[in-house]
Amino acid sequence: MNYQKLFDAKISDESVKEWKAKGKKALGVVCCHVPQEILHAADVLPVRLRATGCEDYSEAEVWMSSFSCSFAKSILQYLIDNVYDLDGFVTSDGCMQAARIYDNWKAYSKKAGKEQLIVEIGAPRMNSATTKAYYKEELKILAGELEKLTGNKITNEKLVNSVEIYNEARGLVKQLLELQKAEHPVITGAEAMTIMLASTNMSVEEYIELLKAFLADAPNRKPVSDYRARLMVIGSALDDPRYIEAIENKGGLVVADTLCFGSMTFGDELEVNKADVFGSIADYYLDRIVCPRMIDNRDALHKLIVNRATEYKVDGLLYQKMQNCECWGGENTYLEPALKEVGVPIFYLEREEKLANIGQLEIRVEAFIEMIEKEG
Amino acid sequence: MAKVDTELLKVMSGELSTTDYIAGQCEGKLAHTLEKDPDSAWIYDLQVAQWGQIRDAHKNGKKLIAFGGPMPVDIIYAFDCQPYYLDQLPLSTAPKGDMNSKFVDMCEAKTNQSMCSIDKVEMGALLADQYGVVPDAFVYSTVPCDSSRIAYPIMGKMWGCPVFNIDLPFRRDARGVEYLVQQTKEFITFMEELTGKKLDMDKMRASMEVANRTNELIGKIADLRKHTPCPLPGMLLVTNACMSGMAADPAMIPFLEKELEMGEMMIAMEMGACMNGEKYRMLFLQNMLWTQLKAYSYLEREYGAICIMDALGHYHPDIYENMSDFDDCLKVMAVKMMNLPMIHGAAGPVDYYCDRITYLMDNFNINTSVFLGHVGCKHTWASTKILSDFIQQKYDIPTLLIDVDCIDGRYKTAEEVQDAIGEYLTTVVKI
Repeated sequence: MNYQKLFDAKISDESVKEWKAKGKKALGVVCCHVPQEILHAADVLPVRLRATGCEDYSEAEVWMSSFSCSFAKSILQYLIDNVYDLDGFVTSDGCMQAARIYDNWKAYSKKAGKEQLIVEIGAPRMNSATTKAYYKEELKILAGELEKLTGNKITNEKLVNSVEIYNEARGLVKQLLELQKAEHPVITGAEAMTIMLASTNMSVEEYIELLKAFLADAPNRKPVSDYRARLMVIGSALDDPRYIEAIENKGGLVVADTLCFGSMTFGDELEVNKADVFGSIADYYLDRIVCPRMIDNRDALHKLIVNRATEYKVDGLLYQKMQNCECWGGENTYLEPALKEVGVPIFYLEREEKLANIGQLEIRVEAFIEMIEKEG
Repeated sequence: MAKVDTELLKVMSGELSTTDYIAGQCEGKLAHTLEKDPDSAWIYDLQVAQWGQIRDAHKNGKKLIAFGGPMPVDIIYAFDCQPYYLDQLPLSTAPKGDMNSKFVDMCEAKTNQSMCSIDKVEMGALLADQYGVVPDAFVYSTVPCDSSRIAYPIMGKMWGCPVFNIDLPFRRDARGVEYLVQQTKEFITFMEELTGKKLDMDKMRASMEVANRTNELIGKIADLRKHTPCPLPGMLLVTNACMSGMAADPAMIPFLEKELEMGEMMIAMEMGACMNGEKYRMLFLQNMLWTQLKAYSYLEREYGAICIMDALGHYHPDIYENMSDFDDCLKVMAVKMMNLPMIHGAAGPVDYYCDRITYLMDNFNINTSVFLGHVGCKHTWASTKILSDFIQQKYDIPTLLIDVDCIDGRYKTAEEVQDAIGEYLTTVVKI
């Protein structure tokens, strides 16, 4: 089976068109606190929105100002430009910029006469029995909206089935990530990221088939041996593999990440309690560590980053922050000493959604790698 | 030659804490005013009480509870504890440019430059170990914003004291109220464990009675601002911010009574705060310019332009109607949390922001709209087009967008802000 589609980082509307041609609905999803399983159970194609390659977000900036993060502005720009031919979108108040995509798209689409289903679910920003119960109700409200949109009833059986399918994808992505642990992995960091981004371009079923084909063929791939340092990437939403390529062009090999468009969006398997399916989904999505949007997950997030750096034998860590991304703004206070303890230096990069100043980035990365080599 | 503030220099060098400095300054100003202009002493009485209580909490046998964002503060008073609303620090020190700059710079070494400077000062003062007080607990909510959600957990860890969080719901509906009621009950349990005492319902009632009185007064004061000409200067809108932390503090009552009395007297004398006549009744859609409060007086004097209200700071009075029913009181507390300045408009869908603006536009005879936008408040900036379009369409009033840092005066001087607003008033606004 040809799995090359997994290596195309460009946003493609091919799957959406095919899906909609069958008379079914496709909805955009902003933020990974929207459980895609619920959309899937309603026979809706969830399309995780990204802004890869957005070069000009000037119209969105009119709406969101120059003080907003360029990822959020670029998503809005793509919605304005109709890059995705969708029937609406679902978001959570992941961060406050994500929440404003909701407000601005709602206002814009109304003004442009293309009103559609736009749902924002309140995803609590702390983890407790009370917040999980609240979130569970939010998910039920979302399910109700989807039922109204599609006419499809979301039953427990359908939900369990969807969870199982998504769990299969999670398991396969885990195998992909395992490949990166090798001393000479058969995959680069840019390739791994592209494969994970590809999940946003197709149905989960197609993704599973392609991933299976890739993993079967993986042993035949040429191992990467000419690198100078093993690196890990953390920080703001990063959906452009060209950033990783720039790092790898200078001798770094990205072998791990904690990105919301990377490994964190998949996570571990979701265990379902069949007596409380919505409750299980709510528990999973609030327990799962993705980013510092939660007020009470900081220690656990730091532990996860340090453990992952150790597990993947990382020589250095790239902490990239999107300008105006507050969520990822303060982790170094405690993360830096924790990483120092395990001998992992940090390279800080402030960036925009649009890839710019690539030469400067390459020079800085090279200097960082040299520093690692000297100290190593 | 400008007088050197030697105490400020001590803060800058790290010898003096922020609490001791601010409390000392307030006491000094009060003593001076009592001597020179006793009728104005009420302005400083409140500040002396506010900062003295924080500084002396432990001396007075009270636990000090630092808090951020919307929390059920009336309960903290009912437990005989002293709340310390952390935003009071950057707001109080904003006019002392150098001090805030120091803490902002210290914080930026650890966080984003783009983070809200309110949080930068709060975290920077802790990094500098210059609070001068150590809280017995730190309680905070998940809003107002992404910046606070980054700073507060770090600060909680640095203080190493017990922490309690409340999650504010995205939507302000009945389910959201129940959600907050449940969390408030959990907060009471936390306070009981912290203090080793059960909640005393008599003390709770006393706290709610004070809160009712201050809410009633702040409502009446706001009503005075509906009058043309507006009897109270824009600068006195700082009162709204005091309410966030001190609504159940008895010291608020004489202050608000005096402010109300002053406003009523002005109306009786048919006088307004603009000494040369009132022309522009401005709604500031976002924050106050805490670094340069003198800009308010300048605009009133030079242009007859008065800030009637700021949409982010507007304090909505909520009254405990049925104090014998504690469950009902808990619901009022939940609504209060949702209605708090900075929260009501900014921390949920933009529709609430529009609702607040509608209320202010419809009731306060506004003829000028200015988005004096704090640069750190990115999520309100991300709603500027929606808000300005809304006002244009509904009220046929254009909106001036101007970026400021309301806490770090290095960003823009008072003169720049005054000129920008002045030019706008004389060239764009048609009265």
